[in-house]
Amino acid sequence: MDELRLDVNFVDYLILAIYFVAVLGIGFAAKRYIKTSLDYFLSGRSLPAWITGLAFISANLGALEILGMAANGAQFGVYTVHYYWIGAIPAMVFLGIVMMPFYYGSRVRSVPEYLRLRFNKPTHVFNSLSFALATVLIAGVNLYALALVLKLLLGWPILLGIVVSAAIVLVYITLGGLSSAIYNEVLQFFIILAALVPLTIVGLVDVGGWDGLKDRVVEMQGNDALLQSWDGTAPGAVDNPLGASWIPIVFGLGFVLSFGYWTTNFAEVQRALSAKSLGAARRTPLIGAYPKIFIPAITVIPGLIALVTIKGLGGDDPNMEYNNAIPLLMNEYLPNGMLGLALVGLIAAFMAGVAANVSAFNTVVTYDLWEPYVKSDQSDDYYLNFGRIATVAGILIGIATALIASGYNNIMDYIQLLFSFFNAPLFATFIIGMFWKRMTPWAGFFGLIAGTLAAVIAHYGVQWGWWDLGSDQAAAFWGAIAAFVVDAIVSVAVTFVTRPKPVEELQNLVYGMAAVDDDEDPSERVWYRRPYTLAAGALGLTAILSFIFA
Amino acid sequence: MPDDKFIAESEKAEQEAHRNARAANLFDVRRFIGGLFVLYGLILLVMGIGASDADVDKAAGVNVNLWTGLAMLLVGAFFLAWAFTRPLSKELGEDEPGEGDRTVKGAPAPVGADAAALRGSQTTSRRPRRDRGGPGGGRPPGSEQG
Repeated sequence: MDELRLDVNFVDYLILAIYFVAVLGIGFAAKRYIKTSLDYFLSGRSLPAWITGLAFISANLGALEILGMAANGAQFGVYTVHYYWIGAIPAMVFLGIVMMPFYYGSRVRSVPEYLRLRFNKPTHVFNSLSFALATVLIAGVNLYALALVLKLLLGWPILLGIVVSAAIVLVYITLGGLSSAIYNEVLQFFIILAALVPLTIVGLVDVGGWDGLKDRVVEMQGNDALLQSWDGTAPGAVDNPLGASWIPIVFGLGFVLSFGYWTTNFAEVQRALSAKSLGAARRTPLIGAYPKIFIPAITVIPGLIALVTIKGLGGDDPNMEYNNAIPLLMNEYLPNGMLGLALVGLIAAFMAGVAANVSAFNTVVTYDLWEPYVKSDQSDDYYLNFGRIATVAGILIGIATALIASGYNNIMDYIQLLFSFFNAPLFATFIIGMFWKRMTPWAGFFGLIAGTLAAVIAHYGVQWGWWDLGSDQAAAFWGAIAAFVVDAIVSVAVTFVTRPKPVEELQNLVYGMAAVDDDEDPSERVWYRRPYTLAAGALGLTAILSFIFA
Repeated sequence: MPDDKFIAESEKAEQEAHRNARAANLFDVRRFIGGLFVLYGLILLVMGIGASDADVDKAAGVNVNLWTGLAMLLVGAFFLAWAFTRPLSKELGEDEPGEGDRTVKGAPAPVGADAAALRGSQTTSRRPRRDRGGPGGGRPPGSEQG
């Protein structure tokens, strides 16, 4: 492990120290101005769309995303663009155009709260609990992955890395709440861009530009399979590095997984809910889609560069696993100074991932569990303080679950498993509940439980040898499909034997009864601000790029 | 929708407006990005000017500290200039007038138990924006209880 350790000097540590001072400074400054619990949890619903749009994309561009997609870039090559252009962009457009009016228009503060209004309290409690669990587990994964990077690059012991990063996140969210988390996230986004763009350019200069890179890949692999995105995806004749036909790519990745993630992941939706108006909330994911289109340039390309320049990448040496493509490139190319900046970018990105999940956790525990079911009708100060206590608890549980994550060889396997448990059934319930007025409250409840159970059974069936579903990620993917299908079937079946909600109670909650569309508003008539213009632009750009890199 | 509640909220909103304007500027993310980028840009620039041959060779012959430092300095300066020429407090006050009051316009009044839970927020969103008193406007604490 020693040969990998970065050659950091005092300048790198100075850059790191400046970042920590800035982050804690935001927390302390925020504390002076946070007066109400709404400020703390939703930033007072006051932010313009350009801030929430940046926050939206920043919440997604965590370190797991960067390292994982660079790893995919090295392993699967250009096929990785499907995660962006088939997966993320259409889902972000769908969230902005179709779903945001329900979320924002119903004035809910959280995704589970929507379920209470649309279905009933048991559905709400079940989802709040499973959601709270999911957020602390994912916060724990981020903490663990950060500690791994700190160990690899700086030689810090794992436990020290976990505790130090948790302490810093704890201070800034406890003080500043969501505002503080969002501002740090945006800061993190720009720093990681400032680190990855030069790293990519230097790498490209070294391999002789994009054409040089393509030549090197072909030379190394003996074919150009890593430079295609659709070749060999015909069902029945699958012959590509991803090992998937276009059916799982489009329906699995593009539909269940991506739509499930983007439309029901509260860490994302919460960013749009803090926008100051429905129009701003709808533009949030649409604005976020534009940077997302170009992120492959700083993840997939470095992955390919690492493949051709780092000897032994993907080999048996644990330091050489694909997940380390970016840290290895940093080590290879960056002199002191830039090295510190890249290190700050990575650390900040992991901490932002922890912060996003912990701030979602405290909102749900306070507003969806404690306030309605345990202690209602307390003063606003009471809930503000309770939220701070929930933050501390969330971080402590996160540290504990970081140790669970350490039991998994591949962190991405664990993440995909969590998504199949928590996001896939929720997406099925949402999509049916939003578009089918007749769906009953109890259908929501039993559908969610059945869907979650289906994913759990799919997973433990593999563990106990009942069936074989391929690799761990493929198994999680089948689990997600099972969750979605079982949830849908149970929801429809229960609907026919239970009573639906009176239609008046579904105002702003179901399709056809959403808040009034923005486009009639005079101030929205600026063409570049209209959600449909933004959506068409994002989809058009994606289509053009997909064609170029087909 | 009782009128006295309405008036009390407006007064409170005015008192809050000043604090909110200051908070908005203080938390203008452009100032944070701008400040941090200028500082980092300067550090990298100094590193780039004093770069050794070994540093440059490591980065495939590119003086990556120098160029990144320059670029960060420019980006940082741009953010600072943007933040100070268009302060967030001002932007929040005037941007997209009236948009906030539209979210539920035209929809029939909800009824039933859930409507009670919604009422507090919806009445807020129907008021003209100027009465909401700037960035922190919106619902008074606890009004969601219904």
